[in-house]
Amino acid sequence: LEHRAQTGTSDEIQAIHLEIGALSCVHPDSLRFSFALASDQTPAANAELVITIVPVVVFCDVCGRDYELESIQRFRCPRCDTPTAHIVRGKELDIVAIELKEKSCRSSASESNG
Amino acid sequence: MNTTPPRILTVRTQILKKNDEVARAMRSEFLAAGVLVCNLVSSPGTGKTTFLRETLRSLLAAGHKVAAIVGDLETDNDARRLAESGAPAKQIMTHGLCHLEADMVQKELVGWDWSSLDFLFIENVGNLVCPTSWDLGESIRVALLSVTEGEDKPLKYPGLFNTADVAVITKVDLAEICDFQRDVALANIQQVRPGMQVFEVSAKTGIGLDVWIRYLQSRLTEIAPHRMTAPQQPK
Repeated sequence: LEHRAQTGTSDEIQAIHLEIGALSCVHPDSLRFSFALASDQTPAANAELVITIVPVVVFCDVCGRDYELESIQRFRCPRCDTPTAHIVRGKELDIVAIELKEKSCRSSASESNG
Repeated sequence: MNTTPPRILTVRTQILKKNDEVARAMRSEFLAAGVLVCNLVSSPGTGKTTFLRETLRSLLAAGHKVAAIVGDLETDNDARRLAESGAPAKQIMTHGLCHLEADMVQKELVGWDWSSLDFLFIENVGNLVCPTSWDLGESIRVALLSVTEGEDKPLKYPGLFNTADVAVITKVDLAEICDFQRDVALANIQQVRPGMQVFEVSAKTGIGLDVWIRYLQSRLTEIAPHRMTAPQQPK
């Protein structure tokens, strides 16, 4: 768990925004549970995990475009039913953004965006 | 004012970035040295170790240099079973961790003359979930499924089968006793991973091993043509 390494500041982390692909084999509840343990006594200790589940998107060679899969047990184009193994999205396990809470005593340079 | 609005920092980084970087570096080294690395993944009890032991035996008999690394929570039983093949085998004990990570494999390689190998096999911890996300620098990820497990395993664990390059159905000598519906299993694999090549083997009787060994040799030829000049084809 590398979350803290990403902050680069001593500010308290208010929230961490994550994207979890439907194929990543990570369950949000389990992640929250282990995050609470792992983040204890770190700047991320009370951070909220804002998790977005990314559905599986495949590219269909026949239709020539991307489609969201209806089921991850069926890798076929939802429109023409052609089997496809070309995954465009859905394996993500990404930290998208970190929300920092400013310490009340330190307000300078707060507008510079990383 | 003592309250300022929260700042949002866009970071866009992969949580497993560190593992992926180690794995990518290892993969480059393996490919540069001409070593074909396979990562074997299945549930506990599929028969990975027996299948791998017989694979090692066959490759040794064909004149290849092979070795194996095996991960388990506890005991070095599997490394000892693999060593019965005559190939060097190292055990990683994860002490509770349910999968192997790239740096664990990297540590095992230190001081080992792996670069002269034709094939290096990594037998993952028996688990159909967590190994999915952890790249070990392999060229081929092999998902194994035994006829005793049920034909719907690929549907239950689509993530793992989807990230695999090839599938192996093991213990086919028991298919009839288990009422294994081969067509259903093959269809389920294709549902979650269209186009995936499937090998059907019995490590006990040797059925199907020759096809599997020829596949490995053909993949080795792709990455290291020079290595395939000396060894012979399996009988």
